[in-house]
Amino acid sequence: MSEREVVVDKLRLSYEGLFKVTDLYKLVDGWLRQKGYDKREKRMAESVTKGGKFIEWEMEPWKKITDYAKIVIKLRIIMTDIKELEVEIDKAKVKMNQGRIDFVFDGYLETDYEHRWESKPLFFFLRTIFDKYLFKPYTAGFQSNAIDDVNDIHQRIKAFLNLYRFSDVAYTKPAIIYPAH
Amino acid sequence: MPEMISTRKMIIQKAGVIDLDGLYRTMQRWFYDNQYVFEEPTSRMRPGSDAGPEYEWKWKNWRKVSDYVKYHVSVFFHVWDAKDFEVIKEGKKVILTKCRLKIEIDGNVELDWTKKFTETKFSQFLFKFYNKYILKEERILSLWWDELYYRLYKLQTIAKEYLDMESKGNAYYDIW
Repeated sequence: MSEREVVVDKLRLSYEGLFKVTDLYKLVDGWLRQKGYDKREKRMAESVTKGGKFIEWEMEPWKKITDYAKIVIKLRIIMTDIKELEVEIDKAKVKMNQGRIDFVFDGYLETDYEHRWESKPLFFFLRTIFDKYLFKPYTAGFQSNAIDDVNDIHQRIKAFLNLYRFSDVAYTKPAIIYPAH
Repeated sequence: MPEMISTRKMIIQKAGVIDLDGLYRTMQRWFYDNQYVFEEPTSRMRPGSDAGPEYEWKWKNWRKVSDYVKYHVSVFFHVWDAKDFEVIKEGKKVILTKCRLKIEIDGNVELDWTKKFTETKFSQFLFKFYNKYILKEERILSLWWDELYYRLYKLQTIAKEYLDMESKGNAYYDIW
């Protein structure tokens, strides 16, 4: 098995208010493309509940950095009570959504994804030694790349949701929730 | 043994009012357009619950790429609590279904489907050698696996668009 190291552990973002679901999807999808990630949509679910739509997206895009290491981002987006409404922006009626979104971001650095260093116990041992001591500067660099990417998408989404602060409809500010240790 | 490389499963779930007939035809059409051989080995209906019957369809589609490579795409539709009702859409009667739907799309790249490299131990060695050093694995992934993977996302996008899901659209539309 390849080794998966957690570099970002359950970074959360919550927002309740006005936004556009399709634009959010385009933002995430477009960002992944722009950053050179391969698409991976594990589950896209939608259902109608009493309070509005329930939407759940589970994505796990990845980016190969070298033939030894790759970055994997796990992104879970849960939207509850999503309602459609019409808002007047610059005297034009625009269709928007209102509801609650919860994001959970995880970042991983996956090494030896081609399973080349696990055919023999000696190889496995060597891999661990190399990873821990000899290639430490490289793996640390890869880790920081993964953290940067997760932070970047997190910031982009936050900025995207913050845009709606300037609309004249009620909103609540996005809040970052850090996991309690 | 021929080798299968999976593109991994993708799942779409939707609960609401769906034009099942249209969805079926649109997705089937994609296989026709992409020159796949279409097979439906399972088509099942069960009494389900009080809310309505349960349906299952399994599709197994394949396409020859070359004498060495073949693509397999399996689609599994699972419908629960289906209730049909008629509506008039653009002056025409259309049957829509209120249900819970799950679609699983899975792809596989099959290498050596003609089984040329399976007969002797030596040919098996050649098979491994060919994949590892001549095709260099990377080519298998970047050429065939990648093509099938992103084409399946196009199929997924078609299904999402037909179901009018909020996550419709695909930033990777121009890949393959």
